[in-house]
Amino acid sequence: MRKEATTPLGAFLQNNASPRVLFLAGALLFPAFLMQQDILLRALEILLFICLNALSGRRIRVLNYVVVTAGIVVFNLVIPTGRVLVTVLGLSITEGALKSGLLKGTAMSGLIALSQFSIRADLHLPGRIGGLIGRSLFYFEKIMGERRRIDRRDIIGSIDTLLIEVQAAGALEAGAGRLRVRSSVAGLAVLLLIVAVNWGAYVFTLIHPKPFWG
Amino acid sequence: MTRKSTSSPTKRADLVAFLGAICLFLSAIEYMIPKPIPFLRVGIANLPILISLDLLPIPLLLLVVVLKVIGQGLIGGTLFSYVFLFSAVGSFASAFAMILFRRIFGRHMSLVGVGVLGALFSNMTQIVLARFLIFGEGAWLIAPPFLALGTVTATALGIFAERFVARSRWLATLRAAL
Amino acid sequence: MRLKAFDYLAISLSLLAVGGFSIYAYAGRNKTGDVVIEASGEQWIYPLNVDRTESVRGPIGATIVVIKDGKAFVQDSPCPDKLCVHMPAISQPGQWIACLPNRVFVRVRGTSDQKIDELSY
Repeated sequence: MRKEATTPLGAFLQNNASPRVLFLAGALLFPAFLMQQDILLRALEILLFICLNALSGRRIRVLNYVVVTAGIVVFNLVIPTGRVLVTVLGLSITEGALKSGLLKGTAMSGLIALSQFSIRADLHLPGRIGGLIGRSLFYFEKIMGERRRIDRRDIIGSIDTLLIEVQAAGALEAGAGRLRVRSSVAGLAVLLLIVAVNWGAYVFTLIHPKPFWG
Repeated sequence: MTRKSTSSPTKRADLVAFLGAICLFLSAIEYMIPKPIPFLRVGIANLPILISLDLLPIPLLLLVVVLKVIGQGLIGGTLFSYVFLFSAVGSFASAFAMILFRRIFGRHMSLVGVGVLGALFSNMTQIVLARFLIFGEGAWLIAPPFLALGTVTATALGIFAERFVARSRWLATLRAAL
Repeated sequence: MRLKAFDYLAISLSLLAVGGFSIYAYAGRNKTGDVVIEASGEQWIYPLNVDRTESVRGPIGATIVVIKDGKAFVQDSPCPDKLCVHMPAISQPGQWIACLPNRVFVRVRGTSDQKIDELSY
């Protein structure tokens, strides 16, 4: 469920950037982020995305991101590749596997953060498919928000309940009239800056391969 | 088995979007399951399609697949990579197979069999694609365990799907409304 | 829930495919393991089934180890007699190639024996 922004900065993003512009910013950020192979830069970008999420008034559970990334990293380490860094309990932790794991883990976390920030419920993409995708992503976001409800002891029942409630809530939200948010110059400027910074970081890696840790 | 629908097109479109979203949610879960071999797919994300086989006409079913594939590409950020291609090929192969065999065998085959065949088609097409695109002859080496695991997971998913269809109030409501 | 007759058919078909592919893929082919390269007090581990070229540094220079088609061999080394280069490619656990002058040791280990003690060198 969307929370109303509690800080002035949070309100800024919600009120100064239309969903379409946010989506566009997100779409532009996607490749720049993904092509970023330097892990330190990636981590910084993820931090940026998470901050943007917080500024949009969303609840941030940093632990989630950490656990997701750590989990993916750990399991990548199981298949050793590359220079052995340290051997723990018979398992060799290799540089290649660690990097690969971190890249995948950060990719996952980063894209979650990015799409959470850039995809809004009231997004109108062109065409009927666009509209359907937007709607799908909207529901996706809602389901993800409610996923804690899934009870392992009653998987079917809890999922069933979740589906009923999300679909019902979604139907309501569709009907509600909504203020069209117009992008202000300030909002556009902020987003442009973010896109530029991320792309700049990527271009930087082209000029300076492996700048920090890649 | 064409069904005359009593619901509005908007409602059905919304349902398609919702089903697509469930697919995306399940593929997000699946992504978080770590895999030693990159192409080991559990195929959880195909469950909504499996469950909707009797619910929607073919064009709408395929639309759910489209939403699933594009949605996965957007969320996973894989829209410009091979992963997207594999996902698309696998998902459509699986959907075609499931639709086909559901129509052919009707009530003589439960969702388990349909799911297993869907997984078989999906995995085989992905292996062939892998052979030509990235692995070369090495693709055949992981084919047996890949297919074996696919059979096992598809059976488990099929059983889950059958149980879900039997118990779900959500589905019951949908069936009545459609 | 009870499985229907054609469910078993489907599963059997799938398992048949597994069997078919197994025969095709494994008849005459070996399982691949890992290549372990040791040099300068460090260790590198690479899977045999991915082609790559790695360069490791030893006291007298860089030794080039190539993994190709499931086999590993030394392509070049700064040692005077290049014995290591002429050694045949290795692919089975237990096999090894060594470049003594450059203190590089290349061996194959099976995928399951992660507990083999490091050979002191």
